[in-house]
Amino acid sequence: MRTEDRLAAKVRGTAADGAPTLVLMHFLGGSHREWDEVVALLGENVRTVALDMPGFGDSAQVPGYSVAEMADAVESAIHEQVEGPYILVGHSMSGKVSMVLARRAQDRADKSLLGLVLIAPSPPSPEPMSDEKRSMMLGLLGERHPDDRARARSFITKNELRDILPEIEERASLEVLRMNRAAWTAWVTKGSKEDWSERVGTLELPALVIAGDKDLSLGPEQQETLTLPHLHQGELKTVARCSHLVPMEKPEELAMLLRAFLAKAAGQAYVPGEYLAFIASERVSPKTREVLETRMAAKPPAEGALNDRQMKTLRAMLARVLPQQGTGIDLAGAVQERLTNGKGDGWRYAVLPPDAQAYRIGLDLLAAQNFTGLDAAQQDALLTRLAAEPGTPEARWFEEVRGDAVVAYMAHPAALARIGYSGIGVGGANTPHQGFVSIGPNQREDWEPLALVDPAPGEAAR
Amino acid sequence: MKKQSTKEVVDVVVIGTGAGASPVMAKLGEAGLSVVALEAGRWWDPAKDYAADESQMSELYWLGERISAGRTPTAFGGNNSGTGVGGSMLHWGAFVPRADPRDLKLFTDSGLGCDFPLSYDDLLPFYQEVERFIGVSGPAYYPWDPQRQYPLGPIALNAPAIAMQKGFAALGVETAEAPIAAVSQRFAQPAYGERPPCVGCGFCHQGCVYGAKASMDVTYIPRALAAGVEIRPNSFVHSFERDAQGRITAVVYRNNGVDVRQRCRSVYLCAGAIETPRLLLHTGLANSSGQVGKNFMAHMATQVWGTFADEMRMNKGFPASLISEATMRPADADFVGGYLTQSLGVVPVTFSRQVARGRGLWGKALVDYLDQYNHIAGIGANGDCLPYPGNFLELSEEKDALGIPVPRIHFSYGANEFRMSAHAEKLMTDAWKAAGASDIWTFQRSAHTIGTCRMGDDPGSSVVDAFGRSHDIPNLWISDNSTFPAALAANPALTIMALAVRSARRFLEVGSLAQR
Repeated sequence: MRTEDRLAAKVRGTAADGAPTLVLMHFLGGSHREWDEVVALLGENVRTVALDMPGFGDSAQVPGYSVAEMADAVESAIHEQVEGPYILVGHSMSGKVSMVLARRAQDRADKSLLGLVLIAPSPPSPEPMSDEKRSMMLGLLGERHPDDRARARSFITKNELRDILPEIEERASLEVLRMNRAAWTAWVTKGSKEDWSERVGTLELPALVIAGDKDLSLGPEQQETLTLPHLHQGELKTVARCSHLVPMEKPEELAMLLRAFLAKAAGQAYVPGEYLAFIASERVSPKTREVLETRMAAKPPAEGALNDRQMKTLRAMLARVLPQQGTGIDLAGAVQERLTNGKGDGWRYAVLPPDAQAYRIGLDLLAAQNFTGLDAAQQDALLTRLAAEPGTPEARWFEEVRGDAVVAYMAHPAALARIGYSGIGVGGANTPHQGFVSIGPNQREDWEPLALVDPAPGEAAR
Repeated sequence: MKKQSTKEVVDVVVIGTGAGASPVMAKLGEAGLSVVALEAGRWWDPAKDYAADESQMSELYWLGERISAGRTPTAFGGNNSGTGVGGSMLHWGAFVPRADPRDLKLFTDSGLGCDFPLSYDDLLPFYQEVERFIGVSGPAYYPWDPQRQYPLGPIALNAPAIAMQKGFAALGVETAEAPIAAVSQRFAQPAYGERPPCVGCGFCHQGCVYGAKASMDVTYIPRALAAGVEIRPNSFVHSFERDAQGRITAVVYRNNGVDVRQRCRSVYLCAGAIETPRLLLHTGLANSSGQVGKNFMAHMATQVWGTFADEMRMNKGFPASLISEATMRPADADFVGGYLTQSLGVVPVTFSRQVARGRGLWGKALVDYLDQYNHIAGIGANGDCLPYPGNFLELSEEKDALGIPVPRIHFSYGANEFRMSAHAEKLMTDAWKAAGASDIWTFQRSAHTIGTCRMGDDPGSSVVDAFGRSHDIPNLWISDNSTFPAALAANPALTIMALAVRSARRFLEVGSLAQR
């Protein structure tokens, strides 16, 4: 490759040993700068490589606008810029390119690609876009016009429908104007129409699809139909009050989702830095800190009360029982640990055999009904049926599973951080008697952590 | 600590170190008797061992398997018994209402249930003695017993208590700061030292690091040790030796895998309403009445939860700091007996478990609900429970690690418990509505293990007399919640301690004389 055909890349941060790099790829008309806010939020401990795709940003002069050519260019950039494991993060147009890259990695059994984050991706199949819309887009920015600034602005804000801060809009519009109009035209008329659905097939690696609830053309519904069928381990997250330009509309939410995905890819639960600092602070007693740190580092026994097949069913079951919102705690591992070490909770229902045996019977029952091969709705239907008749062994076992899952969840600092729990900070053995001074309603003490999510009360329960 | 020899005959072996055992140990030791207490669990050092972490501290619970049967099976584990020197008092809630006088004679008043073979006046001096000694904090004026005086001022109300106060006030139902066995100010504890005031850390059920809560290890046990009582931890009693007259001559226990025999003149069995009948059924002792294991009771302990716009952070402060005894005999009751109510703050692992189990939430609804933890608060009831023939403890075919049968406990609510629970649910729900809560839900549960070795005057229908002495074996005494012939609406620990002091006094009057 000629030097001038290399993709421009903005590299930030240093990854911890073995931690993956995030390769960030922008939308049509964007550049590496669409990630500025997200990269800043991720901080210096996350390594990011934000690329300018062929024809855009600092790569405006790089040729090769077909999906395959874009994938080639990204592969070269990764070869040069990334050492060790990485995760592809593709937005819209680049989402399609990311899936093609994932297919290539899967075919050559390349283990350095750990996962895929697709933000409102263009699907492997031709993007559902009317001819009218295609001509409208060509007319808008396919050639230069005297009022390009206004045109770019209308493209970025979708005629003010998107909630983007003025300074971000201005920066993004100026980036739009730096692009090679041939690249724009190529994507609208060809790239977006290329059909890769058969070639991409089913991707096995962990994948997260993120879509804004206000995105009408590549929103959650389209992703459910067009993208998720290609992802065996795909998970869809909807970002509320958000349209198509997620990184610029909701950078905080996106950064949180990326951090959680990173932690999960590295096989760890996600505990925010602020909460880790709280655990390390004077408010937490040495004994409490030791207990929490041991729990965060815990690995499930390699062999235990449940066999591999039962563990696979349990993981699938717990993903439905307690669908974690980015905490990434190994709930099944914690259950395996408890059952293997014979640590009971001091009792069981008379209709059930001892705990480990009940789990084996229950999980085998689900496996016999092909639980892991079912879609989420079918899995939920099976679980609902378990609870159908109160007092039966099935219903009692399902109650046990729910209890065990939630105990493993809430005992972990990732969940405690999520709910903004202050109780670990009361001091204790070998620390000053601290406890609480302000205990009435709305009397938060300065040091108490805030919840990561603060839903309107009462809305959540079904 | 003074050590006794296993070769010698000691005056008394006490089995257990909880609320029933510790006052007995202290009283008998101070009377000059040689006393050895055997505790199944370990000796804890709060300053070194306790963490502000629920899962870690579950080691304080009795985790030997118990099988729960019946139509409303009750939960064990963290819900009641404990292990370690100090027993379940290491993790108790320290909520110490006295028994309502009417609860002790429920049968006389209503024709249902069973009377205690003693009156409130019999208990009163012992309540007062215990409250003074362990340092109970409470209001200056107790609305349901204006004569009552607590030695220490009240513990501060936390957010759930303030919300309950508001809700009950709106309904015209009286409340008061709860009687709590944690000290609200510095407290000089004989033989222990100074106990610092409660700092409201909220971890009462995980063991009090500070010694503010009146666990046995900071109250009666130091006093017993000072009087020369020996406590042997990690000692699980599994059999007795007896003489030709049937009197117990030695207690055999397992310590670090080895059986040890301690000869003795008398035995105080204080292992709680599960382990006490389990041991008696296993050894076949003291059961000529056929009542050992019978009449198991658990309090109606229904809770109502709600979500508030305000931050409640219910883990802060004393978990149950407000009480109402206004419903001990409600005018509109369609049941006999009554219940009290208390404000509730529950730490997150325990709370989440009851949401997942009791509310039945799962999926995204579960995660979303738990996200609101800092906005949730509860009110709980504690209500009387009638004894029923169908509610009992038996030995199952399953064996534990020592080869002793695992207990199976049958427990089903009767119509009286269901009606009382419905009454409490309505009151608590109305209160939470009045306090501005949304998403209100009810958690049906029962709590505390009571009965199984009932006391009574008639040897044909009870296991022990009104002082806890076995009708069958004159040198066997029982002091724990198993002797309660009725559940009473009050949380049991204070009454267990009062009965223990009363029993020990009786033992010193008659028991030790009779055996020599």
